[in-house]
Amino acid sequence: MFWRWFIGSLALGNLLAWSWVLFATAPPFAIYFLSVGQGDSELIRIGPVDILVDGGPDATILQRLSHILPANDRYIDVVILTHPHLDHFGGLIDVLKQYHVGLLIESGRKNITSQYQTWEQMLSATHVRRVVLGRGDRLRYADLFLSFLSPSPDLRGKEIHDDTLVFMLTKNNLRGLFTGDINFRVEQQLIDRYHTALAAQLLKVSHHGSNNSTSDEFLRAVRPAVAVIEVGKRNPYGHPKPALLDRLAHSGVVTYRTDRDGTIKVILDEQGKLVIGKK
Amino acid sequence: MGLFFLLGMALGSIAAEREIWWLGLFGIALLIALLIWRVGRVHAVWVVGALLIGAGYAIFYSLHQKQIALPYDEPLIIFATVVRGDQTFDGQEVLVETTSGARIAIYTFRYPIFTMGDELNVRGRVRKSSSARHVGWMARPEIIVIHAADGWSWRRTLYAVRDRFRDGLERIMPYDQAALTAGVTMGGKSAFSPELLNQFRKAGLLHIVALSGANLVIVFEYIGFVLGLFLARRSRLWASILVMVVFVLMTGAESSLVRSALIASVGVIAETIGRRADERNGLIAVAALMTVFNPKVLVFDLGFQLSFLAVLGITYTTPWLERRLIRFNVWGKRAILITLGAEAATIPLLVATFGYFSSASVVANVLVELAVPVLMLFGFVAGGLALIAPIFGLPFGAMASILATYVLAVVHWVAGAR
Repeated sequence: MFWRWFIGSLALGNLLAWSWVLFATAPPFAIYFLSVGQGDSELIRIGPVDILVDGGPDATILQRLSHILPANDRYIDVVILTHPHLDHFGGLIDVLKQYHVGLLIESGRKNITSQYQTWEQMLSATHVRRVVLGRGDRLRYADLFLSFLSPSPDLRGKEIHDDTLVFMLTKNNLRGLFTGDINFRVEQQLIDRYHTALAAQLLKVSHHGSNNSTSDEFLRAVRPAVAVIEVGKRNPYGHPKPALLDRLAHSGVVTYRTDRDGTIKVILDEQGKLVIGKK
Repeated sequence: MGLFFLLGMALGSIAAEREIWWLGLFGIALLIALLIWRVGRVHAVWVVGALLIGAGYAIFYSLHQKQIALPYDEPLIIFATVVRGDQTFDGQEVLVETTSGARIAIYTFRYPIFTMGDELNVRGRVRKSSSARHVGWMARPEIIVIHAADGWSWRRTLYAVRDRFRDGLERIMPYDQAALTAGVTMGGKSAFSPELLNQFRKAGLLHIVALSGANLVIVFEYIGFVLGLFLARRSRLWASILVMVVFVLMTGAESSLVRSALIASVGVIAETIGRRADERNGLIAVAALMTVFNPKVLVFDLGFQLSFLAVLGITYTTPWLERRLIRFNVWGKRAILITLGAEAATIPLLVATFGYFSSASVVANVLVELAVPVLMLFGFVAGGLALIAPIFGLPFGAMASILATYVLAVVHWVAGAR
């Protein structure tokens, strides 16, 4: 009797496990702004390719990824680390432990904290391919393009935030601007260099909605229809700042927040229009 | 005699903590008078002697602890050695021991990982702790590793195996299901997200990840069942105990787990041999042994009290239920009755501690207690095979995922209903 139950359970378990492997489907295109607390993380899925931008501060990213990716999908094609602050790379240490990563894209800027040293040790231990990109570089898969607007190759920023990787995502008619943690100074540099080429329907608001980013002039240059603020509940910094929320409201931008709305999912409908959902 | 020793320990711990020495003197005087009147002088001497030894030991222990208390809420620089480190969902809990012997709990970032034996320089403020296990705690102090642990340590090796086991489960199962399975098999809720932890508390099901005496009795039952296919009754008992020892060592031999395993072993041994009196004496002996290392657990450690009461409930209440339900035969009856026996003994303490009784949590307990032992079984096999390579553990991980999803669904349902 016992052996019948045991063999039956084993057979059922095999059936389930292999069905995950054989019949898993991927969505055509989706962007997820993951609710990882006081930190940033976005997952871009196009066909079988997954691009993870930052990982938040801790293991929350693993739980959020497990809600989106099938349990047997343990491969992330590209990880982009916008800059080496703990609220962006902290969770990526755990991602490296649980997933295989094809390529790491980074700005080249380093940090001296013990947590960052752990990150570097994990990268060495897992032999992940690394590449430094900056202004003028492009990443392409099918009709998806990631065009990097910042930082400049010589990394002359005074602060780590100054050298954040900033990129424009384009797919068909969709343009999305991902700003990491840049401040007013870098925003002005982008306006001066790119002018109206900064226009995008979707804006990832910089630095969790702090008051030294997302100026009125920047909003006039980008003219987003939708903005997403990635911020933690009851964070000690008071993010997002009321003044910033006012600027977004006055600009007529529909704003979503991960502390209030959870993970935000962005897809394109059949007409190519933005559809926003909460997960 | 053992009972009065334990009673003395309990009274001594309370008296020392609240500095009500005078009440202890009155209590002892009253007890002496009663005993002489009822049982005679000779017995009174033995009983009071055991009581005083227990109380004296507990008071001495508390005084010694107070001497090594730290200056609280002031900037401090401490040199300490890591006793135990455990990663949580959003950080790390590190138990350190200072050069003066004081134990402090440090809550810090998830990385870098601090391992047993690391020598640290810690700067921050120590807050007073109400725990029986440490005298203070610190939140995100500045930590510098002066000397990393080196050399071979069996305990560090066991912790590493435990961590790899948990990582293996996370690689073959969805995150929440892996966290639950790891908690059920290895004990602990460190991988639970704050939201999940809150739901388990609301549903009254947090104990299923505590590896309490009740859980370990069920583990004994399963090990015994498998070994019973090959071994005779007495041989099966000792083989089960051997497997249990290996399990306790593998999960890191935490004091709470050692306690639960000892208590569960006594219950199982006595049941096999068939001597109820030996079981009671054995339980008292185990309790006395555990409290010698830390008398405060008897009064101030809810986990110890629940574990002890759960096994007492299984020892006395479960057989009573079995006799009354002898005609009902359903699959999993034994596991259900073990659960009900443990619940009957622990509910009064839980109500007294938390101030409420949840009938929904009793229902939830019965609903999940059938699944938990099977989840433990599949979890052990999945995690063990994943240690070799994740793909080997995948089929059993899939089965464990189904059961874990069921338990999580019950938790969500009950937590939402409250």
